[in-house]
Amino acid sequence: MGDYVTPGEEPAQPGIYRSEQMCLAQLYLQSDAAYQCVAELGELGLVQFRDLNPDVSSFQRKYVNEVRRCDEMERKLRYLEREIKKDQIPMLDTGENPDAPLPREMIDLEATFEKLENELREVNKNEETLKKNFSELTELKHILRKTQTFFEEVDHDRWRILEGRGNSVPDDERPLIDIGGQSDLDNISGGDISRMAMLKLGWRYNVRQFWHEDLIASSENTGMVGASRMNSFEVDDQTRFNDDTSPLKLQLRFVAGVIQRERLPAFERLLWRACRGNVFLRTSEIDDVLNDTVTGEPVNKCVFIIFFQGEQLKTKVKKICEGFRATLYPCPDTPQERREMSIGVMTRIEDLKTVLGQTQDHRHRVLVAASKNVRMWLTKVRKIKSIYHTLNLFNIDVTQKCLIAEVWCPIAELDRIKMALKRGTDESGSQVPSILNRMETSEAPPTYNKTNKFTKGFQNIVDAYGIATYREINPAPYTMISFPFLFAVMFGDLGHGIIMFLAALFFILKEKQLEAARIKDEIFQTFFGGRYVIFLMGVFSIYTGFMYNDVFSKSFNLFGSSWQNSIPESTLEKPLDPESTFMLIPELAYAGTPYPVGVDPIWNVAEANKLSFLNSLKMKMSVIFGITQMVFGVLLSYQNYIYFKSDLDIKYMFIPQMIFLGSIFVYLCLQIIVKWLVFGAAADSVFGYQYPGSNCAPSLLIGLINMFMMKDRKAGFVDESGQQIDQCYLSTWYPGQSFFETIFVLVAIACVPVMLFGKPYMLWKAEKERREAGHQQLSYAEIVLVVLAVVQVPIMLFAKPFFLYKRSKKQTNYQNLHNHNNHDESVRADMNGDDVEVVHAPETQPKPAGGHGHGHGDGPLDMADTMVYQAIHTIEFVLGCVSHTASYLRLWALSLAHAQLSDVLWTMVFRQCFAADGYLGAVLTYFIFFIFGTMSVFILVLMEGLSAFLHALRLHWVEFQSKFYGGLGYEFAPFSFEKILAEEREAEEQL
Amino acid sequence: MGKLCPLLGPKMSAFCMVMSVWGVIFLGILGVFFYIQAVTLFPDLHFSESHEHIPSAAEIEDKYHEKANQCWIAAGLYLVTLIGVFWQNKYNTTQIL
Repeated sequence: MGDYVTPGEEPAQPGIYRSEQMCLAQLYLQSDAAYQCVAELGELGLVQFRDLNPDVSSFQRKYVNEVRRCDEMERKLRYLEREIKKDQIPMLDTGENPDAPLPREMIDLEATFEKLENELREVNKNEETLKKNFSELTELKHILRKTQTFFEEVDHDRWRILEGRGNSVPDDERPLIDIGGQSDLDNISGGDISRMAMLKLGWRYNVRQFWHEDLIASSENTGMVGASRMNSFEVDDQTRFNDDTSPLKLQLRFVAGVIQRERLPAFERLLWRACRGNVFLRTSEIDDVLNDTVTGEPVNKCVFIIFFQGEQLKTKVKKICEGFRATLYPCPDTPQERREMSIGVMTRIEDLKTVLGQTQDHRHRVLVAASKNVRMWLTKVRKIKSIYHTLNLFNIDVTQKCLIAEVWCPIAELDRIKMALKRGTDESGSQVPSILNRMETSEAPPTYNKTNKFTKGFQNIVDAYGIATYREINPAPYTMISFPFLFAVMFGDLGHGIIMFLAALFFILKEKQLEAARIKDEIFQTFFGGRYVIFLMGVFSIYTGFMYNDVFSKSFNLFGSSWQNSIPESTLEKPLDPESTFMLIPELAYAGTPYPVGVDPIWNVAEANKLSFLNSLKMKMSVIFGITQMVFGVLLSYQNYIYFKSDLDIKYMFIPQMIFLGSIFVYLCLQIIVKWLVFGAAADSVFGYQYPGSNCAPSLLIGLINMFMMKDRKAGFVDESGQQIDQCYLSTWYPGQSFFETIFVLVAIACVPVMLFGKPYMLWKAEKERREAGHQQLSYAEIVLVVLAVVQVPIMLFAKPFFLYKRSKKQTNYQNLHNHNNHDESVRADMNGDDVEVVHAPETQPKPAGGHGHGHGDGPLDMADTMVYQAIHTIEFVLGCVSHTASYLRLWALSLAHAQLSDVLWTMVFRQCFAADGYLGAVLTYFIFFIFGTMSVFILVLMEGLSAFLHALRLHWVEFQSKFYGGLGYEFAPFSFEKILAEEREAEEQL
Repeated sequence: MGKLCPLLGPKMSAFCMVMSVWGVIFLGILGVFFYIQAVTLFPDLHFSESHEHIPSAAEIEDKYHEKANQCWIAAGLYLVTLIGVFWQNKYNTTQIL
């Protein structure tokens, strides 16, 4: 393969047999009309644009500004979309496909988006500030409310302590500090105790007594007395709580604020340590969940109030608060002020609420209005962007009046493309028509196989191996039949086939709904995407299951078995050893005419030799299928060679390949069929030989080995006296078998192994022997053989390279002649700056799909390369024939595995429920069926199906396609809005 | 309509629905095959393990009938299940996962 001459013009062949014929064309578009034309082509989706400015960076291209503007618009739209989603407004997505807007419409769109975005941003900003204010005010409200209680507590407490001064409570029982009374103390946890200790110690520090942490626990009486006095600590610079009785004019101050609840313990600890216990902290949790002032997320917060004394401590405390991101709020000192402030705060909160509600209403209205259009806008913007992106690939004519594009397009669609161009020109109102000019090129065109939803799955299977070389035979049409068939050969079970069929049928019938549902599950998508493949696999499995006569490992006796009981009743009536088996003697029990379709159901109950029968059947069958498919593949390669006018390939590749395949493998297939036809159970006369019975039926496998070994074999199954000879299954079974087989082997050998190993050896040996002694000692036959081999070898190896070399030489000459008037040039204009120049660039780019490095007309022939390629390909084919035939035995192996597994499932699982009788049996049946069904679906249908699928895939990729398929092309990627939008949407969904 | 005894989510109930439809059909047909005494089902019949005793034709026929009934009862149970699961599927449309 690979010596493909690019075919010239030819009549269009509809269908998917070969990829579409493509041509390279130049488009001359008026600058005014270019946008519209590209838009029309995008709707059409049938042209692939080539980048004519590959060396220009994307920032220097002509329409980079427009692309940027589109990006900006897209960003705005996404912002809008995000906001809409945040408000949980349903977005209207009709999936409609608006036309690409005109360039002037773009300005309108831009203005609209700008306005919307600004409005939205402003509203958001306002809302944010309002919300921040609101949450600050709320926090303040809470502070005022909570601190009020602190102050009240203290106030109340002062009175209590003053009253209880005379009490003689023992030190031990005395509460460390009795603010809020005993009942309060009970509720106070350990943390609170230390806090109260702080209060006390803070006071002690103030009166310049030494302090120690231990003192917290062992407070002295004096301390307590002090503490009682200390309760006048509220005295600060403004002399609130001015207690006349207090001997100490303490300058206590406080700060109040809120802090996140999680930070509180650390905050408390740090305050204690950093201020050495000289501050008094009271906290209270806010029950409502507040919104964070900055992020807007819900947080739990605590109100705290810290009392301290002196400027230094104040700065320290403030620093700590700052460090813990606590927000401090001003808190008035007098209750009246606090009350006033509280009232003020409440009214402000109410006001804010109304304003906030209005803002949110406004925002909602804006978003609802936008949500109706945002998807459509997004589609429009993406279309514009892709159009400008495409225009960037164009060349600009010297006069700036005209844009030049190079496109790949299918020849069959040229009319539609021209129509689209005409429409585009008309719409833009331009007077000058757009021109489409076909060009000649030596470059390999892209491969474009038309697909529909049915063929797509199969085309994907083929493309996954490699995109077909341009105009090469597309294996997909054959895959559509052979793939499900080979799958079904391995999966053959009517019951499981029906399950698979019904599942695929469900997917197909509910296609529209399931597509609309946009289920993102990957496994589901895989199955759904391959629904037509699965459908056919199911149908074929039903067929093969019917042929194997297998339904959940049971058989149907539809047409009446051809076997009857040949064992006399009397034998059956007698009690027997349970281990004993009965045999139906074919001569007695077999009716003579086979079961009409498929496997006779009698085999299903033949527990002793069911497997030997089915194995032999399936093994032979898979060899026949495999060889048929391989021969078919080689025949397809003939079609390729014919199409690409490569006689060399036909003569030195196809013909030897066919001979090789035919003389060994097709012969084997014929043997199998003949053996099926003529060797029965009964004694008979076969091809003139007396055939004593089935024990003498020829063993084909050993026969094949003997054929290669060229062993002497006895002819016939009986000797002269009519006695059955020893190992009669090894003897030849038709007249002249040894002769024919020798010829076949020799021909095959002449075709191949000689070429591989014999060539250097035989050449060297022949040379040596001719020099030494001549050829007297060689027998006649040997001379013939050697000569035959020696002649074959150089022919197969050198003939093709030689002809290739000659041809390439001829072409080089031809090219030299015509080198001076080379028309295959593309015109490129350099647009940078004022110095406009036209660059005539000859098409010297390397072929993207350059074959095997010895295509015609590109450079001198690489002899070594050709040789290596030829040798590799020959080895691959010869070894492949053997290994691939063996590989097709997987058809039998998997089919056996599947049948056995379903048999095991029936006997080991389902049969158990028939052991029990009565209602228990029914209930058992109910439950065991559930297990049986689930296991059938998951193990036999899904897992076995997957493995059979993979094996069928391999058989197609390796065994079938290696015979003819190059797969060296590259895919046609047309500029299509549909595709671009689908990709964008997918990318969006993956975020 | 509120949730009525929410036992199965939509996926589970759909699966059970498919299984019960299959159960009704499969067991119904299997019952028919037992009833017409299909030979291929003979290995599924279970007889008491005694070497001396060979089941008579009548015994075997009885067994076939019994197994046919057994299958039909199980099929009936699946019919009941189907109705139950259908009701679950109809009223419990909330997905847990």
